[in-house]
Amino acid sequence: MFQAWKNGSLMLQDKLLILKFNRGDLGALHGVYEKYKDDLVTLAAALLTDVSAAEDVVHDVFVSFIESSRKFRLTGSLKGYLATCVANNARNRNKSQRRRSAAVKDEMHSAGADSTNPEFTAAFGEELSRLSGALARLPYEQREVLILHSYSGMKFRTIAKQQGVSINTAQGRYRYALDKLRSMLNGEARK
Amino acid sequence: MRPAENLNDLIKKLQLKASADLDTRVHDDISEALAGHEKKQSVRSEPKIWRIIMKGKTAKIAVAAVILVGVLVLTNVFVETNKSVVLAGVLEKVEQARAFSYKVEMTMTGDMRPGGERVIQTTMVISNEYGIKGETTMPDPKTGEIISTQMYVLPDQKVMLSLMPQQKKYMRVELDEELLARMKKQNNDPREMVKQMLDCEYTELGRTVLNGVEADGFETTDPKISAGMAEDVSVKLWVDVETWLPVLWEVEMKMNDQMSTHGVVSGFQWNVPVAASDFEPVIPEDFTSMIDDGYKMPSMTEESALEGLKLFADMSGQYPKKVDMISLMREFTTFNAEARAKLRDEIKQKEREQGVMKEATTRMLEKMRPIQSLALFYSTLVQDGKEPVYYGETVGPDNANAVLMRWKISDGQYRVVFGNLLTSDVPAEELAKLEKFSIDSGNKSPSITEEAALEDRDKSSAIDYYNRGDAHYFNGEYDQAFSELTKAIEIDPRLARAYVTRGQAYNDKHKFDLAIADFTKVIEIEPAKTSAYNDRGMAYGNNGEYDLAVADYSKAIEIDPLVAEPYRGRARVYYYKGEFDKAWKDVYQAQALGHPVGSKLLEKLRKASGRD
Repeated sequence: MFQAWKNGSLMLQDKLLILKFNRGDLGALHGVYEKYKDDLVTLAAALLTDVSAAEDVVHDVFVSFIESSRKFRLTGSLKGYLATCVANNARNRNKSQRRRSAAVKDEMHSAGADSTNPEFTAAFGEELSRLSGALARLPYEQREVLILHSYSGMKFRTIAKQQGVSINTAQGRYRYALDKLRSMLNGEARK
Repeated sequence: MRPAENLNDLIKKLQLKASADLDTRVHDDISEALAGHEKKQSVRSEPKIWRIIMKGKTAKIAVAAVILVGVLVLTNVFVETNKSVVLAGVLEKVEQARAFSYKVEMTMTGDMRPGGERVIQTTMVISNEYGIKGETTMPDPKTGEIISTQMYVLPDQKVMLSLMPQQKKYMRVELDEELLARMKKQNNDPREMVKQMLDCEYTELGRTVLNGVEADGFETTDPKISAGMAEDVSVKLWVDVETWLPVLWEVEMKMNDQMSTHGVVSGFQWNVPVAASDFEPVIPEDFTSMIDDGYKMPSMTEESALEGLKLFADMSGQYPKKVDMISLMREFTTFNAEARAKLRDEIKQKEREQGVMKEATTRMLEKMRPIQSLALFYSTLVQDGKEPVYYGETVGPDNANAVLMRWKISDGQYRVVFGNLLTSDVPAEELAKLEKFSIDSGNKSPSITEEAALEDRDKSSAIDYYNRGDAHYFNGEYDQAFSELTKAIEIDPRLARAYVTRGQAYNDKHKFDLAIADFTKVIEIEPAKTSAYNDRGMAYGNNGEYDLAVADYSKAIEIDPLVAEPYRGRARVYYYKGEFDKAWKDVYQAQALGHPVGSKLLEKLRKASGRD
């Protein structure tokens, strides 16, 4: 006899937070933040390859969460909702950043080929520094699919909708990202 | 080569800690909001319907709907009549124009956030021969970027087509005869616009000079002019005294305390040259449709309006309080999740019967269609001066013989919709009697029997028991959870979610037979629910009844093949049955759907099957 399987009491815990939130209990947000802060900061950092920008993203997300608290009802998964907010915020940030840097340096590629942020790679510790360095060299859209899928467990369908592309395109980006990452890591290993 | 799994595992290891600085920032903001919130708790604001609509995937559809409604309303303003010498002349002039264009600028306040503003600009070209073409620009509610939309109404093909170049999307909507006739009449014939104004009480504003053009002004504040969409409305029309053509039309609409719209229609050009090719939109090959082809606009018939009332009552147990578009949509979005989920399940069930799975957007639109029909029908009654009166605030489905809604069909004759949604034509004297009863009954609700009231109270107390039981379960207090949930079920034996939580609690306590019985009950109540089969599959699996578990998981997958959870559950059961190939297949499927499969199961499966 194996251990009985549960359908996730984590989800029930979230349900209670959502219930409180929808009843206008903003205090529930302290708990929500504590529960998800590390995951959300990591997600934002992995997307933007910038730790301090990541903290700003998470802060922004909670500020708008607070602002909108009385204007909408939460349904569905809290974690998924927050991850989506972070991804959207990060995407917009990346867009405006690209626009700015394109305006300053027209000739340089926007995807940040040599602009890996040392603070970012250091943040994840030795073991993962090569991975984070390689992640930083992926184009934003590819990194986004990879991180949202592999780190946040988001469905391709959901990611595709957010990026405004077809599921096939999202899956294609995921495969490209994995392939590139693999060759970057192997390439460096051989050096 | 590293297998994908390894990279994925590596990525999952990424872990940062939020800095103390961030902690302080966020907690302070929450506490601050909390303090402010307590101060003004009494002024809980209602959800902003536009904000909700604009945020989601429905945004562009909503834009199209706004444009459509806008077109219906905006263009209602120029008129035929002999009340005014100037306007009679205008009609003659306008009649001669085969095609004309104008610009619309709508400033919407409070639709995104209190005090926030958004400007929507549209250029319209209207041709008597070919149809309507409009180009709209507005800021994206999420990013603030300007997005543009092209809209065509093509009477020959009976379609409305919208193109969204930035998103590479299009939307093609079929128009029915009635709607088309109405749009044609109103949009191709500026006489209709002036007519409406002169049908209302209006005042003359005298003469002024606008952009070097001498113009006479007219103003109305008759609610009829906004087709019941606004609480307060003011419309001004300025006409060139030389050419007797409209030069400026200005509308101020206050929807409610938070939302208002300021619209300016100007830049009229008469007899602009148009070619057939201007009205032959080409959908580029890489554009995809936002909705399934063949989607039809909500119709505006009495029948569809009654359907809308019925749907609303089925979902919420009462009729909408008001039936203008804005109030109705706002009420609709405040429905609880359970009611919406129920509706979604019903729609999915219907689709399965018809053997089609639809795009989510189409599904959403179809769900709302009867409700929109109701609002559109009501607005046509207002526009056509049929004096509709609606008593949704006082009359509910239980007030079978009370007048819910009525409108004039001819002099002294009225059509009446009763609380039970039956209709009847009655003369004015009888209507007066019926309505007196209806208004009185609204105050006392005599036709709601005590029994029914008791039942209502019971239902809400069942939900209270459920909520408490759910909270106890979450806190791991199983005994209290069982007693509260059982109490909830005793009061309302059809409260599915109480069975769900109790079933999960039984499952946790290894009382699998009882868990299975509860999940079976859920399936009886909500046969179309994927999660109910998934839950029972889990309990069967835990009870060692593998074949029944596989059957339940398979049923869940059949209902909704895009939910990952049952694949993962079935993979686990296949593993226990020793059917490793099937297990792997389900693992891949769950992963493809974006659901992580537990590392323990993967490890065991790798070991048992010798694969990696």
